[in-house]
Amino acid sequence: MSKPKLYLFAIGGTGSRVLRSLTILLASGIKTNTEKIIPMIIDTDINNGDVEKCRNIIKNYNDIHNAIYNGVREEESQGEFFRTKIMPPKELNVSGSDYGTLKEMVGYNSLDAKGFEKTRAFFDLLYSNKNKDMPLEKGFLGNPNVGSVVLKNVVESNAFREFTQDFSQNDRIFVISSIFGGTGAAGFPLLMNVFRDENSGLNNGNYINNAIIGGVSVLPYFQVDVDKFNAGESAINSGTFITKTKAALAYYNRNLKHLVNTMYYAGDTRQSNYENFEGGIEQKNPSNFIELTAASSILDFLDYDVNANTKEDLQISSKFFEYGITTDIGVVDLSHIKKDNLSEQLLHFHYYNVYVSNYMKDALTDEKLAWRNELKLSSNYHNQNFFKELEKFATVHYYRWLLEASLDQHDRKFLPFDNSIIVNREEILKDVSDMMPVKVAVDDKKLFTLVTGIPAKNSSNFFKKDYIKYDEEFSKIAQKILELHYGNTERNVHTLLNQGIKNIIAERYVL
Amino acid sequence: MENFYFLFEDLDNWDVWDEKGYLIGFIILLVTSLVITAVYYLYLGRKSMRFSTVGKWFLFSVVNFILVFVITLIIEGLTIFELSFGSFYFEIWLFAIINSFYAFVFYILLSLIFKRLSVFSKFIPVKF
Repeated sequence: MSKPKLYLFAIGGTGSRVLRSLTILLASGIKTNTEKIIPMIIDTDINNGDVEKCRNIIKNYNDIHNAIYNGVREEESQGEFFRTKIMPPKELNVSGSDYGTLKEMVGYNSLDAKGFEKTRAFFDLLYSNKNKDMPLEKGFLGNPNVGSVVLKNVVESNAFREFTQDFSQNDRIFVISSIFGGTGAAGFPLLMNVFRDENSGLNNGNYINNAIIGGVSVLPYFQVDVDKFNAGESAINSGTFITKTKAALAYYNRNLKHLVNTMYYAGDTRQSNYENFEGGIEQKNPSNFIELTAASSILDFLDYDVNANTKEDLQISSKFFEYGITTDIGVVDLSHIKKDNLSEQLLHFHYYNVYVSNYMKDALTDEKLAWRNELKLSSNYHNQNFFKELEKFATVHYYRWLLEASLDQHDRKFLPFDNSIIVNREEILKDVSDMMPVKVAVDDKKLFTLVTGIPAKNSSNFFKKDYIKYDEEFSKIAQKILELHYGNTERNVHTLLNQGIKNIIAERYVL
Repeated sequence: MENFYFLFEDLDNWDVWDEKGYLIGFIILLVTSLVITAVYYLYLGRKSMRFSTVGKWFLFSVVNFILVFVITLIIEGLTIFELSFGSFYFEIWLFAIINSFYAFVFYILLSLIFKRLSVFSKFIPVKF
């Protein structure tokens, strides 16, 4: 049987940010036990900056993936950068601006009619006046009781209908949500109830009911400026995150634990400090280590009981995981990541990005360079789409993600690599478009100290200086790459970079 | 060999040149150029990319030029004509210079053959 597809529901701002981190992980070539990932973004705040970032990175990823792997069999080239297919995200259209306020959405005024007194009283009991008058265009601003009503409409959307139509017998579902906000906290239980409802009347309802479903719930990991809440400038109050989390966890424990097969909880006692924005284009929280952790839970889920096709096949019907690190340190680097291929792939990917952003353009314009000529690259290859896309992924998405995760506003930073190679750090942090390319400067010496705390093996001595020579390694293997007869220039270039960097890392690092 | 060295004429010592002078000169030219090209393409060109530039390739041609000049001068003067170093006459100097120019041409021709056997200098001096 072929590998399952993964329908990945990313709810709210946290969902999109975890999806962004997942894209970085997949770009690094982590092997996944899936045919493809189909992201389903649920956010009433369609202008949310985090969603926009997520759309952009996946588009860039897809352009690269399609140029290399179009028509390539699933089992080939596993473990190479950008290998897993991610479909363009389907956005479940529940634009809050279409509904106005909760009052307008439910037709509150019509409850004045005779016979609806009890309904109105019940509604008043559940929702405060502030809830009822809250505009829905920027999400639910930490009010899951509001979200649970509005998000019901998700299942009526075309994208959700397409999902149910495409769903096959052994496909899996995973839901990313935060537990302490509004959209995620409301959306997760709602989706779980829909998926497991035997009378839902969904297309392929039987397959969906019996599917293996997992979820990651992100516990509070940041706080926002409380002054804005106190001054009435924002409805988001991070002081209530813990209380809401406790309430939601109690609810999950009572009502959801029998519905979900694999549940991951990711959270951190060390908090990050973000500006208090009520959604919209301004809500662009920086990447965070906990989002990377949540993203890695998706990979873990794909490997969970791989021989099981439906929930009935599972050896254990429900399993719960919590994330933990062995040392409570403020700066997490590669040495703190579990010694599986995650840290190794990130290391490979970093050296790859350093080459793409700092050396590759010069190599492509060097008419005498052996690997460039062996692969018969045209003289303007550096101006062609493929290279532009690789460069864009490195400079617009990858370094920015790295930089954001290491900012001082995080009490726990993720700093696996030396970010001092980024020379326009200040401009990047001020850039509102999020599309400004990061400029990097790496010299021969720096190539040995790119990884925090783990220098590369350097055999320099008094008589001889050692260098890390990318192009030399690539030229050595270029002939072998040609012998693979891929018949696709982009795949040749990509395989060469993958293989060459693998050789360099094997020679220089012991992880 | 006389025809090969058509640029050179030494009627006073024609028989010596004809008997072995030309041949030895040609052997020096061929062996030195072969060795230099082989070192450049087969040894250095497979070991590291450090020398894989047109500039370095040209430097090796200059080395070849100088080596052929010096070896020709010494072998022809000291061994063939059995002269002391200070008494080399003009024709020997001239022959050494002509042989060096031929060495330059040989280096280019041999480069075109040997470059295919290299890893890093496969497209030096020209790409085809």
